[in-house]
Amino acid sequence: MTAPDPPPAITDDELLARFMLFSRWIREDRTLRPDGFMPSPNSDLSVTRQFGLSEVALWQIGQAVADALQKILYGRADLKTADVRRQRLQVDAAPLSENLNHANITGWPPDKPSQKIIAQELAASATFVARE
Amino acid sequence: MIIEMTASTVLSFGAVPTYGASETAQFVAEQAEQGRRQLHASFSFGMDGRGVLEELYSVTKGCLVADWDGYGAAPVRAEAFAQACRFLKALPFGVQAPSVGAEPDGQLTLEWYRSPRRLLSVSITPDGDLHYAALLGPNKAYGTEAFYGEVPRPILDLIHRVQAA
Repeated sequence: MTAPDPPPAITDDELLARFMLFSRWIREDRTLRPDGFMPSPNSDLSVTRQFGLSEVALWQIGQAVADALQKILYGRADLKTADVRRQRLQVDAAPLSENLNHANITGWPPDKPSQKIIAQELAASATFVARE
Repeated sequence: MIIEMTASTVLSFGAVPTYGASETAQFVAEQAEQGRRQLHASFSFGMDGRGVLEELYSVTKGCLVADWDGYGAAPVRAEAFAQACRFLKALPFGVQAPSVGAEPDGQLTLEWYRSPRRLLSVSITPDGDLHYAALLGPNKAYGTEAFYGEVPRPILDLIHRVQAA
């Protein structure tokens, strides 16, 4: 499903995909709500590196994620790694057997208001791509 | 807009003390008070009519179980739902209806939105804490306020700033 293994080092210009699994994460004007960028209780945010992946392969991964979680895949949010790092977050490669391009956005501040403002910044900088 | 103006008018009228002792003055005062109550009720109904409470219920219902997002999210508790209802009903006249969401820690969110860089999000905890964050162009505002039945002034100000053209 995936192309050659992505390198562990993630460059600033790498694109990341956050799969949109809830319709309410997407506004009517096709912008994205920050709710979809809030960290999990484990303090990370799951994304997929687009490095070396074709559109078809990327959507296949998204669909597999949605299927595994029994959700609907509405689309994806494309994020630049540089925009994530601008928020003083880290992007850590975290390959999984079913998704070698998996990564986690980590380094979230512990307090909720700071997490929210960062999620708003990420949502504002992301681009929504609808599932075709 | 018409309802807002009418509400303001009646509220202003109702706020004027009536010192007359005549039956007419008493009647006018009672009618004004009744009108004020009806308008307040219709405002709450209006929020409901705009689907906010229904949306709140729908989002809550979809997030009642642990791991509702597949990434280990905490469930939304009934107390958070109740606090969100109280918060919505405490919003003053003229405030636009927010949209509703939920976050992985089980908190419900209300969002006022004009653009990706002009928005306010308020997270409501089961204990009644309000965590808020707003982007206002190049400016940011975020923090926490306690909810004691009235919308805290800093949050109300941010709602107005987001709504302002």
